[in-house]
Amino acid sequence: MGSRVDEEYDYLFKIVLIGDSGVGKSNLLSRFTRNEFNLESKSTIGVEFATKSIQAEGKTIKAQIWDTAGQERYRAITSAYYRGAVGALLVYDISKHPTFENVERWLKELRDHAEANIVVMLVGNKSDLRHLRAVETDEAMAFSEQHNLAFIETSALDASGVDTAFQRILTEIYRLMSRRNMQAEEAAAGSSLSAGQTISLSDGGKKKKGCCA
Amino acid sequence: MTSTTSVTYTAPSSSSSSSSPKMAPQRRSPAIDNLTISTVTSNSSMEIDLRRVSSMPERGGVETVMSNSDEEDIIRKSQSEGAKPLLKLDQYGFISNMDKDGVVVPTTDSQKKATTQNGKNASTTSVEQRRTTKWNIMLNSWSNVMKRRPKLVLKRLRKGIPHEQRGKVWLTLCHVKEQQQKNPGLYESYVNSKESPNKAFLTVQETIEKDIHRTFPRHSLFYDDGNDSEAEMVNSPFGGSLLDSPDRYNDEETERGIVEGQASLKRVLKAYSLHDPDVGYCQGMNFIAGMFLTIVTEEEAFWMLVAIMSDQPCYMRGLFGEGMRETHKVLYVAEHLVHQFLPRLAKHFDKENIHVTMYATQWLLTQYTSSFGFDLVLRVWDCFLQEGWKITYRVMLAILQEFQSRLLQLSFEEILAFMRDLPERIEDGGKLVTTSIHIPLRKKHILKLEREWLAKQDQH
Repeated sequence: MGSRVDEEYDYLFKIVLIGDSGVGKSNLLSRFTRNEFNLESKSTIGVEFATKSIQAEGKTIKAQIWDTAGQERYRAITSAYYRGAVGALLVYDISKHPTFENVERWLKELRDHAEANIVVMLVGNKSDLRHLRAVETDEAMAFSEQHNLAFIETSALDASGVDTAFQRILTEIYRLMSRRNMQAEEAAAGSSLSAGQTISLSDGGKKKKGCCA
Repeated sequence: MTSTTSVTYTAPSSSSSSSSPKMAPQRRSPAIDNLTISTVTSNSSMEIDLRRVSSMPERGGVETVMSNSDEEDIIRKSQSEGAKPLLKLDQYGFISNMDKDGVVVPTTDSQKKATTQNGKNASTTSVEQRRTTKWNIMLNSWSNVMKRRPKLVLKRLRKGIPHEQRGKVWLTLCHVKEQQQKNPGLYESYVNSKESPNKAFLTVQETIEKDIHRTFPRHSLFYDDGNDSEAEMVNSPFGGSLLDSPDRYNDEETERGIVEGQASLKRVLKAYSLHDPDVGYCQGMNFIAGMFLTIVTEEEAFWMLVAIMSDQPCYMRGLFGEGMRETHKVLYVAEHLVHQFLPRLAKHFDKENIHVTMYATQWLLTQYTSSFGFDLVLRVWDCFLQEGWKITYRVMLAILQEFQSRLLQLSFEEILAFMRDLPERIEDGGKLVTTSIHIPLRKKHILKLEREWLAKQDQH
């Protein structure tokens, strides 16, 4: 890691990258956090991690992103990382229809292991492979509306949509959280805070010590 | 100025797919048909290069340059494609003149010289020669030595097997010859198996397919320069498989768009998935099988995979099977060993919420093959094949110890970023393995923790 000045941030959001093997999760992560694309990236074994901060509605939001191995049996290891995640990018490959068909199974995985109010964005990656497209945008859009998911197509290779995808999910989480905070405050003002309304997002203001020179 | 002799071998004009009934040639000796000798001058004052140049007709000429220096250089050049830069290989066959985007950058003569010369001094050479002689003697009376002096064998394994003998020793340790004799034709039958493609089988093959291009793309055996539509035969001395008559397993649909090394890897993994359907294929196995292919021939790599998956002391199939149950066990043991042997670091990790699964999963699951330099990897495997998991944990502890003072100063995110680049920070992997041997970890420590883990499982 090069020297990285530690920034302050208002909010810290944990995001997980999930989806079938080979859909490009690791490259989405490296494109977003380091603006790199690796043609010869190796399969992810277990989990990998990176962070990046963005600005949204005047706030600095730091995303802590966990990239997970895609093969089904790895869920035994990776599902532990869903805990505490407030957002998930569920990635499929627009040139491989089976990776889209598996999206339902990934949603179930999130229902079983993640927080109930996790924000999920469906991401159709490899949009640069136009001539090989196997999942039509309309099809994916309809699916995401039906399941109440945000949706975007990206290409980690040519970078299109990548920043937007992260920007949108982080902004949406922020808005949702602000709204819940507000509701909670109102509720607290009226009566006592109802149980089960705790917001699992860690609050801002946390400053990191030192930097790695 | 010394002049060096260069020997040019020209392959026959038939293409590599012609099915001339080739006998499996000896490992690490490329097929030779015609040869011409020319003279090359070099500025190096240290050594005389023995240069081997092979030219493959369908590639328009592939040049392999080999020197007998410390860092053996193999340079491959495709002459017909003119501007294509030479591939400069390290002693394990990895391409060293490739930038981080995977682009091969031209080597200048001065660079070439820098790596080809810095020769070893006479004493290292003689140490290596002595070592080689010792290993030859041992190999000649293997069962006897193993029976009477197992500690000596272990001691020598821990010092590292001379690379030229590594394949032979590994095959002996894994009883590959015996397996092959007991199961003649089995590997071939898996490779050629056209069994009714049920869904499970297809899923496994698809997963393998996805990983073929993602396994050591920087190794000359698996390097795909992207413009070849048919199997490419690389006359590199790395990877026995390439020399194990590539025609043998090539069936029609095989290997369009993938290089021969990748095709071998695919066949080995497919064969294993048929041999052990309960495990099938699990990501991570690709690195292990791929590493084997850089040392032994294709069928041997398969039998080695079988041995390390299902035989003691390695017994890795429990890690890779459905549920990956024993991966949890190994990580449990690892976590506790860090506490036991590096308490200060463990305390710091606890404080920063760093868990062993975050950094060591791939180290342990792939026995370091997936991201570490082969100077470390091969030394680990020299021991692992004989003594099992003790070396794995020891090396993990040695790595953490090596960087402990640095890690103690880092916070959560910094630690994970550091861990990601850690393999590149290791300057001398061989030395690190040597250091690790002195860590006072005993088998009983491991067994105790394994029993603990098992007891916890029963409670659930």
